[in-house]
Order: sequence, then C-alpha cells, then structure tokens
Amino acid sequence: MEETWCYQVSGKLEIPYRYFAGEFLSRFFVELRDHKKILGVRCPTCAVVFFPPRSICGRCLSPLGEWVELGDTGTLQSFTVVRYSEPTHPLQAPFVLGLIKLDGADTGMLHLIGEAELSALRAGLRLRAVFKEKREGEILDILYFRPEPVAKEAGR
Amino acid sequence: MEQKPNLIEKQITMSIPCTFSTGPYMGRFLREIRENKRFVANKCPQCGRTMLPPRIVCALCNVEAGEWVELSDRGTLISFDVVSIPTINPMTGKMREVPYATGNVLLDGGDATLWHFLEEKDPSRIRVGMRVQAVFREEGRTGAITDILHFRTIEK
Amino acid sequence: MNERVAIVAWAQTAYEACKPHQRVQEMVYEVVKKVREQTGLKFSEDGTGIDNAITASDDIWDARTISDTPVGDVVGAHHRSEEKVGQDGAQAVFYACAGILSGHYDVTLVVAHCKESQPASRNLITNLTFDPFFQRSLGLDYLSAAALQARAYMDRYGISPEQCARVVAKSYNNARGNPLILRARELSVDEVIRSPLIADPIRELDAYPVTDGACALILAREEKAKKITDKPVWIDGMGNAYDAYFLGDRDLWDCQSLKLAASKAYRMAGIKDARKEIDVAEVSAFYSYQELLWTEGLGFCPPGEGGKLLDSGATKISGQIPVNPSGGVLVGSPTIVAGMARVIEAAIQVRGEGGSRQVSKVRTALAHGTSGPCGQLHTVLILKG
Repeated sequence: MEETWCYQVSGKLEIPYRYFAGEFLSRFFVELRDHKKILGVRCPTCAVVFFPPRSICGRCLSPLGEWVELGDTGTLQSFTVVRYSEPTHPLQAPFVLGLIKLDGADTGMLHLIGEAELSALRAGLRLRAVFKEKREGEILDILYFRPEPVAKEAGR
Repeated sequence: MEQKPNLIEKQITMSIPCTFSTGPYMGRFLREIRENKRFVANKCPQCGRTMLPPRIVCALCNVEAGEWVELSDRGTLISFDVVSIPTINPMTGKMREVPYATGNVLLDGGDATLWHFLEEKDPSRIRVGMRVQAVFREEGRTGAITDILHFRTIEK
Repeated sequence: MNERVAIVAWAQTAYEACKPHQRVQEMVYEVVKKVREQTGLKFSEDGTGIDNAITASDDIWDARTISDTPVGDVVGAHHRSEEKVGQDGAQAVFYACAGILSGHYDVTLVVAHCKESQPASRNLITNLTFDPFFQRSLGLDYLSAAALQARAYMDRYGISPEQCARVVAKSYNNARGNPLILRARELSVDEVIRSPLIADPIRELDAYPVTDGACALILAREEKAKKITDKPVWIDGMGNAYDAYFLGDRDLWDCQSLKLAASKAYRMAGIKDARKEIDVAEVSAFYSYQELLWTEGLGFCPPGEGGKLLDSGATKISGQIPVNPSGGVLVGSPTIVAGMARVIEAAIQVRGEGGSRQVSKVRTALAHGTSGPCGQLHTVLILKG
C-alpha cells in the first residue's frame, strides 16, 4: 500500500467540563474565599491531618469530617523551576512549583512559590501564603507562597 | 450584599490540538474525494466484501484488503436519524446546530455504507430505502470527510 | 490451576519521533501480523487459536474515546473477546496472564500502542490527570511532577546531576545494540549536562523523548505454549501496587508502591535475593533519576544507593545486575507501550536473542512498567527460561 496516499490533518479535542466540588469540599473553598482560612481534615484513626481535604481516608477508608484550621505558613518540601510554556500554566515560564507542608498538616500541598530568588530555593525554606484581594473560591485565591524570614540577619 | 454560592463549581475546557495521520487507506479514500469527487472502497480478497471507509484488514477474515473498487456517488438510505437535542462537537467545543439529519448510505457498487449528513431534515420527508446522492463541496476541498457537504434526496 | 503461562512470540515497531504514514490501526497491524506469522496462529475460540485479545491504549492520547475500537479489527476482536487496559502495557500483560492462569483463556494476544507525536504537547494530556480543584490550574503535569520527585530524591540522598546524566549516556550507548531504537547514538555525560534545564533539576536529555510505536506479544498456557514454540519464556511472577493520588501524600524520595509490587512478584516467583537471582532487568524510567530510584525499589541496592550502584558498574551490560540493555524508555518508548516493550526486551534476553545488547547467561529476567505521575502504579513481572 503506497505511502504516497498518506497525509496529516490538523484536528483538536476541545471539550468543556463542569466539575462540582460537592458539599464536602465546597466548605474548604468557601472558607478560603470568605475568611482567608486554609482548612485540612483529620483522620482520627490514622491521626493524620490531610491537605488537600478529602472526604474519605485513603489509608483506612474512614469517612472524614473533622476540619482543622491550618496556618498560612509552612515549610517547602520540594520545588521545581518550570522553564517550558504550556497554555495550562498559570504564569509565564520560568515559574516555581513547590510542595509545601503547611503548619498543622501532615501532607504536602502543591502551589506556586513567588517573590523568591531561584538561588535561595531549598527544602526547609519557611513560607507564607499571599492571598488575592478578590477571591473566587478556588486554589489560586492564594496567589503564591513567599519566603518568610525566620530571623532578622545582621548586615543585610 | 450579593449572595455568594456555597456549592463550588469549576469550569475547565480540555483543549488539545492534534495532528492526525490518515495512513494510506483513509488517505486514498479522502484524496479521491478531494481530487476526483469520487468514492473508492477496498475489498477483501477472501470474502469479497467492500469496506467503507477503507481499512487495512477485513475484520471477518483477518486478511489484508488490497483491492480497490470505485463506488457510485449515489446510493440507498439504510438508516437515518434527525437530531433535535444539541450536543457539543468535541472538535470545536461548541454546541452543534440542531436539527440536523444523518444517515447510513449504501453506495451503489459495493456492500458497505457511508454515514454522513442528509440535506433533508424533516423526518416526514425521509424514509429508509430512499435514493440519495452525495453533494461535494465545489471549492475548497481539503481531503476531509466534510468535502462532502451532505447527501441529497434524488427520489422520494 | 497449576499450569504456567509463557510468552511464545513478540514483535515491536521501530521506535521513532513520528510515524506520519500510519494510523494506530496500521501501526498495530504491523506487529500483529508478525506474531501471527511467527506462530501460525489464527483467531479462533475453538481451542485451536488465539481466543482473547488484551489491548493497551488511552482515550486522551488517541483523541478517541474507547480507544481500542480502531484496533479491534486487527486484533481479531470482531465477534470475539477483547478487553482494554487503560494503563501501561506491562499491566496489560499482567491482566492477560491472569486471564490464562485463571483458566478463562488459552492463548491471548496482547498489544499496546501510542502516538505521542499526535497531541501538540504531552504535557497538555498529563495535566489532565491531576485534581481539577487543587492541582490542574497550577499547571502541574508529569514532567513538573517528576521534577518535584527528582529534587526530593536527589536532595535526600545526595544523588548528583552527573549520576543522572550517566544513566542517560548508558541508555543511549546500550541502545546502539537495539536496531529498533532509531535515536540510538553515542552520547556523552557532558552533552547531557549541557542540555537545557526544562524543569529543574531535569534537563532535556534527562527526559524521555516524544515517540510513536506499538508492540505485540502472544501468551499461552503451558500445554499450548510448548506446542507453539520450543523456546517459551515463562512468566513466573507478577505483582502490582498503587501509590497515593496526591503527590504531597507520598514521600516522593521513596517508591513504596514499587517495593510492594516487586515483593509480590518475587514471592510468586520464589525469588529471595533479587540482586543475586535476577540476571537482567528492563525497567521503565521516563526520567533519568527514576532508573536510580527504581533500582532501590526493586531491592537491587539499599535505599539511597541507586547512584552508588550505577557508579559501581553493576548495571552495565557486563555488570552483575544489568539494567536496560535495550536502552530503556529514555531512548524512546512511548507511554503505555513502554512497560510492554520492557517485557519484550526481557524476553529477548531470556531467549538469548539480544545480539550485541545480550547479557550473558540469562535465566531470570525482570520487566517493569509504571503508570501515573512519579511512578504511581508499578507492575513487575519475572520472566524465566
């Protein structure tokens, strides 16, 4: 079969979706939007505070309902500097994605790291959330996490 | 004060541009439409059935089907439907315009059907067994299935 | 049921950046035709032929829901049994083995396909894996996720970028003995280190390249296998395990689900000391750091010593525990196909057909596949001659 018959066609997958957070998860986003509060959820059996919140513990399968107010500060666990561009990106490259263990949570959350020198990024860095003025009830109501000075350093 | 929703919803559109390869079988079928405004099908050397659109093996016999036949642009309507409730076209992300009619046409010269739009959208004026003829786009054919505009009724 | 299951035939397409002249059905037919010619088997449910097909593919990658439908014709699925595994191909092999070991089927055709060149960007697809509320709008995809794991792993154990680069150089140089890898070439550690960073610490050459390809194999239960070929490759162990969905739920510097999958496979195959008893391993490392981390998860070395194992030369073709003599995924093996290609390369080693990439005296081989971000699902299979 001759290959000369072949050619290529441009096409697209373009499908709109509506995701519903549900009653349980909506509570998290409403608190974030209305009160700048970040909530986790605790599994009493595993004694673990999860972030992001979820309605079932994946480890012991208990239904979860004990909401815990977490701080807006945390510790950087891992990070990457994204140097390529995609339409799915919230910012122009280069930008920093990090995993942050919020104070009070036992699991890490994904978010952006801002106002940081790339050379200063390291695991263990203390961070604080910066909130948007006008919040919508979504994860980017937190603009990013920025380095939180631990103590004033002399001479700088 | 404006009541903010307490059930959170997020809208995301999956948008992935793609490059599709026709391969030699679909490529030949579409090129014949684009260049010659004619239909070709391939034929199984074992059972003799013709296949539309053309494809690499006969599914019944599991042998390569390398013989080609020309089919008429006229045929008999085997089944049809008229769609009144719109759905999203996954290639554009937009709602299709309704009503629209589609049907399976048994093209003269073979035993395979081609599914396409029908010009006639009034179900009272369509019947199984009706004779139809392909209407090709006169200008701007690109080697896509939409180089055929629709099938028009030639006999009621 | 006490009969064993064996691989009796296999075929792979060449793995290249793009196959513009083929649709997936033609790509799959190319390899199905070869395994049918090797065995002389027809599709038939009367006990004389192939009575089941398991296909591996993904809807979003193919831009086609129920992505197995286009290949149904070529895998003999018309009016017969076929089922799709929407995961890595090693998992499809696992699933097909289960169908035979449970007595449901005698002879199963397994295929995997993916055209990574089809979407404008792989990252657009892998971004969709992630939670729409907490992760997707942050632009996370498998590449940036892998970078988060790479950083956590390298920081914890002091793995250097040079060690990761050495994995890439070893892969490309090994692949020169693999005629199906069209990208195979001489590659220096220096060239890897000088390639641009794409998501720190991952550099362009640390990441597996965009590739189109397909592969097929035929499995048979013991009695049939012995009639079809005089060199069956037995699958004597298999195991799989999933890790948590949210990256932050995991200790990313570890690969717990791989350890669990491997221990199940080893137990089933009667392997007590993997480092000693496995003669060659084909593992699915999509990014260079993963080869080091997976060797730890497979028990080839203690935790944190993947770099040390590499530096000792043990994972070279001539080493004590050769890893990826074929070049592995880093030289070009598409997602979904990757794990099944590893199974085939491991089988090639068991049969002694590896040519210049053949490891000496192979009786037991390990094949590994993974799906999901940062190695979420792992599948391990043990092959024996």
